[in-house]
Amino acid sequence: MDENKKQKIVFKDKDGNSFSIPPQGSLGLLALGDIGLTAWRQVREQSRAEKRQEIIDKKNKNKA
Amino acid sequence: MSGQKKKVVLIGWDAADWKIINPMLAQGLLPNLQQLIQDGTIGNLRTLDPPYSPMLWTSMATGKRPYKHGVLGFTEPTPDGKSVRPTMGTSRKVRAIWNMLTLEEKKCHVVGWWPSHPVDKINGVMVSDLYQKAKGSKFDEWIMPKGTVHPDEESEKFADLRVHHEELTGSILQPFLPNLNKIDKVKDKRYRSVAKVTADCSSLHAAFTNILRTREYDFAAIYLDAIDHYCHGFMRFHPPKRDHIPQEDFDNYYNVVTAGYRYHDMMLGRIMELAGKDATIMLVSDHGFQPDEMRPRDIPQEPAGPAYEHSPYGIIVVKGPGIKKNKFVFGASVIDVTPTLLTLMDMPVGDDMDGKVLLDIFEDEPEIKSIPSWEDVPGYCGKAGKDDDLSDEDAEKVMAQLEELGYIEKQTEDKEKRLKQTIDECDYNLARSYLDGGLINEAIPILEKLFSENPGTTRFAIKLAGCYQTLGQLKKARGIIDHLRNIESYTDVVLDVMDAVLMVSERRPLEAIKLFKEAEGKVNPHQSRIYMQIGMAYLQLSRWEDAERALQQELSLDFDNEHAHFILGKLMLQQHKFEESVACFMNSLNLDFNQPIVHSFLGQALYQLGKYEKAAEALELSVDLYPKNTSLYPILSDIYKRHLGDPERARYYDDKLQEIEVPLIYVVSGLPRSGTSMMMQMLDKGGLEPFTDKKREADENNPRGYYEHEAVKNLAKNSKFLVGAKGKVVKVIAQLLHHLPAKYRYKVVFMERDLDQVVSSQNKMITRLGTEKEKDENRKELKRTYEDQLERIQKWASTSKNVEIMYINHKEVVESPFEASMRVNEFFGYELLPELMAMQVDGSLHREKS
Repeated sequence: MDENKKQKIVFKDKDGNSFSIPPQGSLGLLALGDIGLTAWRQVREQSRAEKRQEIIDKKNKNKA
Repeated sequence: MSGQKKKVVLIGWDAADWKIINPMLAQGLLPNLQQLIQDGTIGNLRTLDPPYSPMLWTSMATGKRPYKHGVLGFTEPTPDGKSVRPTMGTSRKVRAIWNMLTLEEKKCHVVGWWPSHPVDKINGVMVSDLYQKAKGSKFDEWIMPKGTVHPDEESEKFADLRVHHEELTGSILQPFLPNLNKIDKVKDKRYRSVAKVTADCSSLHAAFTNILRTREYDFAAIYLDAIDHYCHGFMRFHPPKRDHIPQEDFDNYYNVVTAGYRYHDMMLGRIMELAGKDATIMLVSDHGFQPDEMRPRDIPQEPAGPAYEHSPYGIIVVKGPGIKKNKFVFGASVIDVTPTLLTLMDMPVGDDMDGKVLLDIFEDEPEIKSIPSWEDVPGYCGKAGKDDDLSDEDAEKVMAQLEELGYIEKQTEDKEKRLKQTIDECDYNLARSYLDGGLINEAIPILEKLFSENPGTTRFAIKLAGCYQTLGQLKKARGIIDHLRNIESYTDVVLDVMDAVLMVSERRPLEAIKLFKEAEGKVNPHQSRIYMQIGMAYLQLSRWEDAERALQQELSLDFDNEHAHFILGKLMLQQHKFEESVACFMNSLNLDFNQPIVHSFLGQALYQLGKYEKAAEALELSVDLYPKNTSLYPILSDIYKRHLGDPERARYYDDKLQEIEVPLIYVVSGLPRSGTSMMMQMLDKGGLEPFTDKKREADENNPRGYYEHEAVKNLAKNSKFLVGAKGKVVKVIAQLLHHLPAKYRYKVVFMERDLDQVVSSQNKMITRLGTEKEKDENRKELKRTYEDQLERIQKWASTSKNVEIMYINHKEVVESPFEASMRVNEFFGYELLPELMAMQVDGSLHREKS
């Protein structure tokens, strides 16, 4: 898998503190509105893609 | 404030209630709302009746009552009258605030307002109330109906910002449902409604934050119905746990309402952040929701039955430049929102709006501009028209979707029956709206039609009986109660309470108290307001201490009962406890400011305390709210002249009286031998000059005189003589009342007497005169004729705008002359001497006992 894709998306709050977005989402993210929703969906998609890739890698490993 | 660009954000939280919010604030659970409150002005927002959200939010956005704006329920007949559809934005007959802003070329955005589909094409973005309602189990299958977003080309972008309930994970739902993992999800599907409601409001919030983040605005509004849904679904499980709630349900769902509020507070924080510090933010709710021991255990099985869980006060919080900080605004109502928003934005208020500007929220009193009506302002307002409306086919689909989703009650399969039910429901709501606006004469014909077409529908019957009772048409009211006793679905004890309430109106306090006492413990004291009624009955008996105890008991159960505060205030006033009466009237007005009679009483109490300036203020407010009450003008003139040393202001009221006064004539009427001469005599002694030629002299039948004028007999042909009756009291027999010319105003005291007694008395009189013998067949015929005549008179009185009528029973006058005199004095504007009036009643002259 591409190393870039494995990187976690990191957001910063208004004070500059970074926080990561859990793939399962949170009420706090929804309360952020469109930004929070879009970010959550991005992370969720990334996480799903990673999981899909892990399964494929595992299958390939088993085949090998 | 002036010179600065005004930005206003309006946030609607359906059903938000201080009774839930306050304890949460105390625990620090709502930090953003806390901030808004600290920086702003708060208050109760009085709802309207009926408290149904589509009607209320339309009133909120128009400043008008439903009988003006035309949104009359959750569903309505389609424009062709053939089927039923959900209430649409196009059902609104008048312009909403966003149309007014569009006319003024202000940038405005509106999200989710109910009802707003299809969207108005306003000067900004509009997202309709169908936007968030998910269809299908997957996001990909969720098609957005046409007319959901304006501008249309933005539809795709906004469609992507919707949240589908299937997206919500356990992490998101955990705060609402701490026991989520333990819920048996096969048997118990209630957790799904938490997901659906949360997804719905998240969709609207995402759209709104996108707008606030990316666009300029003068006005932006969002409406969220989630709190109402959380409460309808789960308030029964909110702590404290009640005995009938199963422990497992309580454990699973106790936190839904609390978490719902906390989520709204989080969304509020984000909106405040995006709105910016220079924005004015107004947070409102259309009604409250009973959170405590007032929660009803059972919900009536009737359309919109869940609204029984609502409470009459919503919330209002306003914060922004020029708004008072940490203050309380009194007497605000749902209909005041639009006039206040318009003033905030330096725009004129329509004279045809029912609401008022909430002046108390402003640091400096603003100039209120006005125009006759926004409806007549030319230009583009963006209001959707018939061309934008959904086709009947689409409307059916939307209807089916909303039913399926549980947004509206499942309708009967029988289309005709469904249509008839919908028409009846809209008519019923229209009648209730008229009643709420004080237009009882407009409501009665609608209710009479509903009752005649649906004699088995108790709601219609009860409401109509209440109208008759208010108008003093007590026989009609009793007829309806008798009718209800024959309907099996109604329990006797409920009818007993209704009966007792009617007895209070009939001035039968002892019988009423007996029935109330029997019903005590068997009916819900909150809904029946039984202690308030007992208090009123004791008042009639002049048992002040008992009355006070009952009224205090009522208020200990429901301190928000503005009527109980008012009655307690009257009781205090009667006992010359003026300070206490002022406090009671203030309590009542704090709950509902739109009560002209309470302002009037408050003025009297303040006058007694020598607080003349405040008395004048209260009386002026009463006149503002009910300009027909011109009887207060002379009192105001007197206060300014004698006590405040302001002859100019006194002259203002004198002139006003001259300008607008249509001469008033007092009338005593009734059937012959119903006690009209007795009432004339009472009024004469009480200080009102009788208009009489004294030609008919006293005789054995009327030993104290007839108080008649010969000219009245010819009233049908010539009414010119009435010019001499201005300001006096004239006796006019019932059959001639409708000949009274429209150019005068009349206050009519109508004597009612048992018709058997009337006929008997007349026959005896005729017999005494030696003209005819008493015959039974004549009695029956005469009685029938009189019944018809009385009905026609009641109709005439209720439809004549220049007539105010008060019905008073002959028996009541004879048995309780002082109380009867007090009532007449109140009706005539407190210008008589009731003690002297009462002394004129001689029980020995009352020959025909029942």
